[in-house]
Amino acid sequence: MSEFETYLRLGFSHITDLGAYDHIVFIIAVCAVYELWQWQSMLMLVTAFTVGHSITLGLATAGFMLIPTEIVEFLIPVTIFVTCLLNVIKSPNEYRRKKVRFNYPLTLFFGLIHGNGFSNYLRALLGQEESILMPLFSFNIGLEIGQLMIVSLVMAGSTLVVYGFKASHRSWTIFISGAAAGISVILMTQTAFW
Amino acid sequence: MNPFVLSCMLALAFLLPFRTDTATGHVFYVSGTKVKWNPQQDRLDLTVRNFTNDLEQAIKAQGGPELRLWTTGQHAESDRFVGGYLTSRIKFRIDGAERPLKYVGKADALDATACFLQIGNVKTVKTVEVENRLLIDLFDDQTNVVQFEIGNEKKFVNLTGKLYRDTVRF
Repeated sequence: MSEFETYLRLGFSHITDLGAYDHIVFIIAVCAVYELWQWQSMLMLVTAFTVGHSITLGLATAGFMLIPTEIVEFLIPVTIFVTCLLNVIKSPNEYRRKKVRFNYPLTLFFGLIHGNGFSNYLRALLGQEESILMPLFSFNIGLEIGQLMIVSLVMAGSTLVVYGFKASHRSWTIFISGAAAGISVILMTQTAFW
Repeated sequence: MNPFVLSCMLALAFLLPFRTDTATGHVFYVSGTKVKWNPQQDRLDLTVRNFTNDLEQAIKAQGGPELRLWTTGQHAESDRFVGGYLTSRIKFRIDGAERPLKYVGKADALDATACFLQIGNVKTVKTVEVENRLLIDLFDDQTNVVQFEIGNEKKFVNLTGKLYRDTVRF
Protein backbone atom coordinates (compact mmCIF):
# COMPACT_ATOMS: atom_id res chain seq x y z
CA MET A 1 0.00 0.00 0.00
CA SER A 2 1.23 3.50 -0.76
CA GLU A 3 1.73 6.24 1.80
CA PHE A 4 -1.15 8.20 0.23
CA GLU A 5 -3.58 5.30 0.44
CA THR A 6 -2.53 4.41 3.99
CA TYR A 7 -3.25 7.85 5.41
CA LEU A 8 -6.29 8.40 3.21
CA ARG A 9 -7.86 5.25 4.64
CA LEU A 10 -6.96 6.32 8.17
CA GLY A 11 -8.51 9.76 7.65
CA PHE A 12 -11.65 8.28 6.18
CA SER A 13 -12.10 5.68 8.89
CA HIS A 14 -11.31 8.26 11.57
CA ILE A 15 -14.15 10.57 10.59
CA THR A 16 -16.66 7.83 9.80
CA ASP A 17 -15.90 5.75 12.91
CA LEU A 18 -19.14 5.42 14.86
CA GLY A 19 -17.19 5.07 18.09
CA ALA A 20 -15.89 8.60 17.55
CA TYR A 21 -19.12 10.29 16.64
CA ASP A 22 -18.33 13.81 17.85
CA HIS A 23 -17.07 14.93 14.42
CA ILE A 24 -20.00 13.20 12.70
CA VAL A 25 -22.52 14.98 14.91
CA PHE A 26 -20.82 18.30 14.18
CA ILE A 27 -21.10 17.79 10.41
CA ILE A 28 -24.75 16.77 10.81
CA ALA A 29 -25.44 19.92 12.84
CA VAL A 30 -23.72 22.13 10.26
CA CYS A 31 -25.84 20.65 7.46
CA ALA A 32 -29.15 20.65 9.31
CA VAL A 33 -30.14 24.13 8.06
CA TYR A 34 -29.59 23.35 4.40
CA GLU A 35 -31.69 21.77 1.71
CA LEU A 36 -30.40 19.73 -1.21
CA TRP A 37 -30.41 22.66 -3.64
CA GLN A 38 -27.99 24.51 -1.33
CA TRP A 39 -25.30 21.88 -1.89
CA GLN A 40 -22.79 24.52 -2.94
CA SER A 41 -23.05 26.27 0.41
CA MET A 42 -22.58 22.96 2.17
CA LEU A 43 -19.58 22.05 0.07
CA MET A 44 -18.05 25.42 0.97
CA LEU A 45 -18.79 24.91 4.65
CA VAL A 46 -17.33 21.43 4.82
CA THR A 47 -14.27 22.73 3.01
CA ALA A 48 -14.01 25.65 5.48
CA PHE A 49 -14.10 23.07 8.26
CA THR A 50 -11.37 21.06 6.53
CA VAL A 51 -9.22 24.17 6.04
CA GLY A 52 -9.63 24.95 9.75
CA HIS A 53 -8.63 21.53 10.97
CA SER A 54 -5.83 21.21 8.43
CA ILE A 55 -4.22 24.33 9.91
CA THR A 56 -4.22 23.07 13.48
CA LEU A 57 -3.45 19.52 12.41
CA GLY A 58 -0.38 20.79 10.58
CA LEU A 59 0.76 23.00 13.43
CA ALA A 60 0.18 20.39 16.10
CA THR A 61 1.79 17.56 14.14
CA ALA A 62 4.78 19.81 13.55
CA GLY A 63 5.14 19.97 17.32
CA PHE A 64 3.30 23.11 18.32
CA MET A 65 1.12 22.23 21.23
CA LEU A 66 -1.90 24.45 20.87
CA ILE A 67 -4.53 23.47 23.40
CA PRO A 68 -4.21 20.61 25.91
CA THR A 69 -6.07 17.45 24.87
CA GLU A 70 -8.55 17.43 27.74
CA ILE A 71 -9.69 20.99 26.93
CA VAL A 72 -10.02 20.16 23.20
CA GLU A 73 -12.14 17.11 23.96
CA PHE A 74 -14.48 19.38 25.91
CA LEU A 75 -14.50 22.18 23.33
CA ILE A 76 -15.53 19.84 20.48
CA PRO A 77 -19.03 19.22 21.91
CA VAL A 78 -19.24 22.95 22.72
CA THR A 79 -18.81 23.69 18.98
CA ILE A 80 -21.65 21.24 18.26
CA PHE A 81 -23.91 22.87 20.82
CA VAL A 82 -23.24 26.41 19.54
CA THR A 83 -23.90 25.30 15.94
CA CYS A 84 -27.20 23.71 16.96
CA LEU A 85 -28.27 26.74 18.94
CA LEU A 86 -27.53 29.05 16.01
CA ASN A 87 -29.48 26.73 13.69
CA VAL A 88 -32.51 27.30 15.86
CA ILE A 89 -32.24 30.96 16.90
CA LYS A 90 -31.14 32.36 13.55
CA SER A 91 -33.72 32.76 10.85
CA PRO A 92 -33.34 30.30 7.93
CA ASN A 93 -33.08 33.30 5.61
CA GLU A 94 -29.78 34.27 7.16
CA TYR A 95 -28.30 31.04 5.86
CA ARG A 96 -29.65 31.75 2.39
CA ARG A 97 -28.30 35.23 1.87
CA LYS A 98 -25.47 35.42 -0.57
CA LYS A 99 -23.35 37.90 1.34
CA VAL A 100 -23.88 37.46 5.06
CA ARG A 101 -22.44 34.10 5.78
CA PHE A 102 -21.45 34.34 9.38
CA ASN A 103 -21.26 30.56 9.61
CA TYR A 104 -18.29 30.25 7.23
CA PRO A 105 -15.71 31.89 9.50
CA LEU A 106 -17.38 30.24 12.48
CA THR A 107 -17.12 26.77 10.93
CA LEU A 108 -13.51 27.48 9.99
CA PHE A 109 -12.83 28.48 13.59
CA PHE A 110 -14.55 25.33 14.84
CA GLY A 111 -12.41 23.39 12.38
CA LEU A 112 -9.35 24.78 14.20
CA ILE A 113 -10.65 23.21 17.42
CA HIS A 114 -11.50 19.84 15.86
CA GLY A 115 -8.06 19.80 14.22
CA ASN A 116 -6.52 19.65 17.67
CA GLY A 117 -8.44 16.45 18.24
CA PHE A 118 -7.27 14.89 14.97
CA SER A 119 -3.70 15.91 15.65
CA ASN A 120 -3.42 13.87 18.83
CA TYR A 121 -4.26 10.90 16.70
CA LEU A 122 -1.88 11.59 13.86
CA ARG A 123 0.94 12.49 16.20
CA ALA A 124 0.87 9.02 17.69
CA LEU A 125 1.81 7.73 14.25
CA LEU A 126 4.32 10.27 13.09
CA GLY A 127 7.51 11.25 14.76
CA GLN A 128 8.53 14.87 14.62
CA GLU A 129 11.52 14.03 12.47
CA GLU A 130 9.26 12.77 9.71
CA SER A 131 8.10 14.77 6.74
CA ILE A 132 4.49 15.38 7.65
CA LEU A 133 3.29 16.90 4.40
CA MET A 134 2.23 13.76 2.55
CA PRO A 135 0.61 11.96 5.51
CA LEU A 136 -1.20 15.15 6.47
CA PHE A 137 -2.42 15.83 2.97
CA SER A 138 -3.70 12.30 2.41
CA PHE A 139 -5.23 12.12 5.89
CA ASN A 140 -7.17 15.31 5.18
CA ILE A 141 -8.38 14.08 1.80
CA GLY A 142 -9.66 10.98 3.63
CA LEU A 143 -11.41 13.19 6.20
CA GLU A 144 -12.96 15.32 3.46
CA ILE A 145 -14.30 12.28 1.58
CA GLY A 146 -15.77 10.96 4.82
CA GLN A 147 -17.34 14.33 5.58
CA LEU A 148 -18.93 14.54 2.14
CA MET A 149 -20.35 11.09 2.65
CA ILE A 150 -21.94 12.22 5.93
CA VAL A 151 -23.31 15.33 4.19
CA SER A 152 -24.89 13.13 1.50
CA LEU A 153 -26.58 10.99 4.13
CA VAL A 154 -27.95 14.05 5.95
CA MET A 155 -29.27 15.38 2.64
CA ALA A 156 -30.91 12.06 1.87
CA GLY A 157 -32.60 12.22 5.29
CA SER A 158 -33.79 15.79 4.85
CA THR A 159 -35.07 15.11 1.33
CA LEU A 160 -37.01 12.10 2.57
CA VAL A 161 -38.57 14.06 5.43
CA VAL A 162 -39.37 17.20 3.44
CA TYR A 163 -40.50 15.66 0.16
CA GLY A 164 -41.50 12.18 1.29
CA PHE A 165 -43.33 13.01 4.51
CA LYS A 166 -44.22 16.58 3.52
CA ALA A 167 -42.80 18.02 6.73
CA SER A 168 -41.44 21.56 6.73
CA HIS A 169 -37.68 21.90 6.39
CA ARG A 170 -37.70 24.08 9.48
CA SER A 171 -39.05 21.14 11.51
CA TRP A 172 -36.24 18.97 10.20
CA THR A 173 -33.66 21.61 11.20
CA ILE A 174 -35.08 21.89 14.70
CA PHE A 175 -35.41 18.14 15.16
CA ILE A 176 -31.84 17.39 14.04
CA SER A 177 -30.35 20.35 15.91
CA GLY A 178 -32.16 19.35 19.10
CA ALA A 179 -30.92 15.79 18.90
CA ALA A 180 -27.36 16.90 18.13
CA ALA A 181 -27.46 19.45 20.96
CA GLY A 182 -28.57 16.71 23.34
CA ILE A 183 -25.67 14.49 22.27
CA SER A 184 -23.26 17.39 22.70
CA VAL A 185 -24.46 17.93 26.27
CA ILE A 186 -23.72 14.27 27.07
CA LEU A 187 -20.27 14.60 25.54
CA MET A 188 -19.64 17.75 27.59
CA THR A 189 -20.53 16.00 30.82
CA GLN A 190 -18.15 13.15 29.90
CA THR A 191 -15.28 15.38 28.90
CA ALA A 192 -15.57 18.06 31.61
CA PHE A 193 -11.93 18.65 32.53
CA TRP A 194 -12.33 20.43 35.84
CA MET B 1 -42.93 22.61 24.74
CA ASN B 2 -40.41 24.02 22.30
CA PRO B 3 -39.51 21.23 19.83
CA PHE B 4 -35.81 22.07 20.14
CA VAL B 5 -35.90 21.49 23.90
CA LEU B 6 -37.99 18.37 23.37
CA SER B 7 -35.60 16.69 20.93
CA CYS B 8 -32.68 17.77 23.09
CA MET B 9 -34.23 16.00 26.06
CA LEU B 10 -35.09 12.93 23.99
CA ALA B 11 -31.48 12.55 22.86
CA LEU B 12 -30.31 12.96 26.46
CA ALA B 13 -32.72 10.34 27.71
CA PHE B 14 -31.68 7.80 25.09
CA LEU B 15 -27.98 8.37 24.99
CA LEU B 16 -27.01 9.20 28.55
CA PRO B 17 -26.62 5.53 29.54
CA PHE B 18 -24.10 4.97 26.73
CA ARG B 19 -20.80 6.34 27.80
CA THR B 20 -18.31 6.39 24.96
CA ASP B 21 -14.56 6.28 24.64
CA THR B 22 -14.50 9.99 23.98
CA ALA B 23 -13.76 10.67 27.61
CA THR B 24 -10.40 8.90 27.38
CA GLY B 25 -8.93 11.72 25.32
CA HIS B 26 -8.87 10.05 21.94
CA VAL B 27 -11.34 8.00 20.09
CA PHE B 28 -9.64 5.96 17.43
CA TYR B 29 -7.13 3.24 18.09
CA VAL B 30 -3.91 3.22 16.18
CA SER B 31 -0.20 2.54 16.53
CA GLY B 32 2.59 3.38 14.13
CA THR B 33 5.72 1.33 13.55
CA LYS B 34 8.56 2.55 11.40
CA VAL B 35 11.08 -0.01 10.15
CA LYS B 36 14.23 1.39 8.64
CA TRP B 37 17.15 -0.58 7.29
CA ASN B 38 20.55 0.67 8.35
CA PRO B 39 22.96 -1.01 5.88
CA GLN B 40 26.09 0.46 7.55
CA GLN B 41 25.27 -1.40 10.77
CA ASP B 42 23.50 -4.36 9.07
CA ARG B 43 20.52 -3.61 11.24
CA LEU B 44 16.78 -2.90 11.12
CA ASP B 45 15.83 0.00 13.39
CA LEU B 46 12.25 0.06 14.61
CA THR B 47 10.32 2.91 16.19
CA VAL B 48 6.97 1.83 17.61
CA ARG B 49 4.53 4.54 18.64
CA ASN B 50 1.53 3.87 20.82
CA PHE B 51 -0.74 6.13 22.78
CA THR B 52 0.75 5.97 26.27
CA ASN B 53 -2.56 5.21 27.99
CA ASP B 54 -3.25 2.34 25.55
CA LEU B 55 0.17 0.83 26.17
CA GLU B 56 -0.26 1.05 29.95
CA GLN B 57 -3.71 -0.47 29.73
CA ALA B 58 -2.47 -3.37 27.57
CA ILE B 59 0.32 -4.24 29.99
CA LYS B 60 -2.07 -4.07 32.92
CA ALA B 61 -4.57 -6.29 31.09
CA GLN B 62 -1.84 -8.95 30.84
CA GLY B 63 -1.39 -8.93 34.60
CA GLY B 64 1.36 -6.30 34.67
CA PRO B 65 1.61 -3.36 37.08
CA GLU B 66 0.45 0.26 36.71
CA LEU B 67 3.40 1.77 34.86
CA ARG B 68 2.49 5.47 35.19
CA LEU B 69 4.87 6.27 32.33
CA TRP B 70 6.37 9.74 32.15
CA THR B 71 5.26 10.69 35.63
CA THR B 72 7.38 11.04 38.76
CA GLY B 73 5.84 7.79 39.97
CA GLN B 74 6.94 5.75 36.92
CA HIS B 75 7.39 2.05 37.69
CA ALA B 76 11.08 1.24 38.20
CA GLU B 77 10.93 -1.72 35.81
CA SER B 78 8.73 -0.10 33.18
CA ASP B 79 11.29 -0.78 30.44
CA ARG B 80 11.19 -4.49 31.18
CA PHE B 81 7.40 -4.59 30.92
CA VAL B 82 7.19 -2.37 27.82
CA GLY B 83 9.99 -4.31 26.09
CA GLY B 84 8.39 -7.62 27.03
CA TYR B 85 5.01 -6.56 25.69
CA LEU B 86 6.34 -5.25 22.39
CA THR B 87 8.62 -8.18 21.66
CA SER B 88 5.81 -10.63 22.40
CA ARG B 89 3.38 -8.84 20.09
CA ILE B 90 5.62 -7.97 17.15
CA LYS B 91 7.34 -10.67 15.09
CA PHE B 92 9.56 -10.45 12.03
CA ARG B 93 10.63 -13.06 9.52
CA ILE B 94 13.25 -11.74 7.18
CA ASP B 95 13.88 -13.79 4.04
CA GLY B 96 12.18 -16.76 5.63
CA ALA B 97 13.88 -16.79 9.03
CA GLU B 98 12.34 -15.53 12.26
CA ARG B 99 14.53 -12.82 13.74
CA PRO B 100 14.59 -11.77 17.39
CA LEU B 101 13.79 -8.18 18.35
CA LYS B 102 15.90 -6.31 20.84
CA TYR B 103 14.27 -3.59 22.93
CA VAL B 104 16.57 -0.56 23.21
CA GLY B 105 14.55 2.12 25.00
CA LYS B 106 11.67 4.53 24.90
CA ALA B 107 10.93 8.24 24.69
CA ASP B 108 8.01 10.46 25.64
CA ALA B 109 6.22 11.82 22.57
CA LEU B 110 3.42 13.89 24.16
CA ASP B 111 0.35 11.63 24.31
CA ALA B 112 2.32 8.81 22.74
CA THR B 113 5.32 6.73 23.78
CA ALA B 114 7.93 6.01 21.13
CA CYS B 115 9.79 2.73 21.69
CA PHE B 116 13.00 1.77 19.95
CA LEU B 117 13.84 -1.77 18.92
CA GLN B 118 16.47 -3.38 16.73
CA ILE B 119 17.01 -6.51 14.67
CA GLY B 120 20.71 -7.21 14.25
CA ASN B 121 22.73 -8.93 11.52
CA VAL B 122 20.46 -7.98 8.63
CA LYS B 123 22.65 -7.92 5.51
CA THR B 124 19.93 -8.08 2.86
CA VAL B 125 16.20 -7.52 2.92
CA LYS B 126 14.11 -9.11 0.17
CA THR B 127 10.95 -10.35 1.86
CA VAL B 128 9.73 -9.38 5.29
CA GLU B 129 6.84 -11.07 7.01
CA VAL B 130 5.59 -8.83 9.77
CA GLU B 131 3.16 -9.76 12.49
CA ASN B 132 1.79 -7.00 14.72
CA ARG B 133 -0.71 -7.94 17.42
CA LEU B 134 -0.38 -4.76 19.50
CA LEU B 135 -3.58 -3.88 21.37
CA ILE B 136 -5.84 -5.97 19.10
CA ASP B 137 -7.28 -7.95 22.00
CA LEU B 138 -8.11 -4.71 23.81
CA PHE B 139 -9.72 -2.68 21.02
CA ASP B 140 -11.83 -4.10 18.20
CA ASP B 141 -10.95 -1.32 15.79
CA GLN B 142 -7.23 -1.16 16.51
CA THR B 143 -5.15 -0.41 13.39
CA ASN B 144 -1.40 -0.96 13.44
CA VAL B 145 0.37 0.82 10.62
CA VAL B 146 3.81 -0.51 9.66
CA GLN B 147 6.00 1.65 7.48
CA PHE B 148 9.10 0.20 5.83
CA GLU B 149 12.05 2.19 4.54
CA ILE B 150 14.39 -0.26 2.86
CA GLY B 151 16.95 1.51 0.68
CA ASN B 152 14.98 3.95 -1.42
CA GLU B 153 11.75 1.98 -1.15
CA LYS B 154 8.95 3.04 1.15
CA LYS B 155 6.10 0.60 1.76
CA PHE B 156 3.13 0.56 4.10
CA VAL B 157 0.87 -2.09 5.57
CA ASN B 158 -2.20 -1.52 7.73
CA LEU B 159 -2.65 -4.42 10.14
CA THR B 160 -5.76 -5.08 12.22
CA GLY B 161 -7.17 -7.69 14.57
CA LYS B 162 -8.44 -9.67 11.58
CA LEU B 163 -5.33 -9.30 9.47
CA TYR B 164 -2.38 -9.00 11.79
CA ARG B 165 0.28 -10.49 9.54
CA ASP B 166 1.45 -9.50 6.08
CA THR B 167 4.41 -10.01 3.76
CA VAL B 168 6.24 -7.22 1.98
CA ARG B 169 8.72 -7.70 -0.87
CA PHE B 170 11.55 -5.38 -1.86
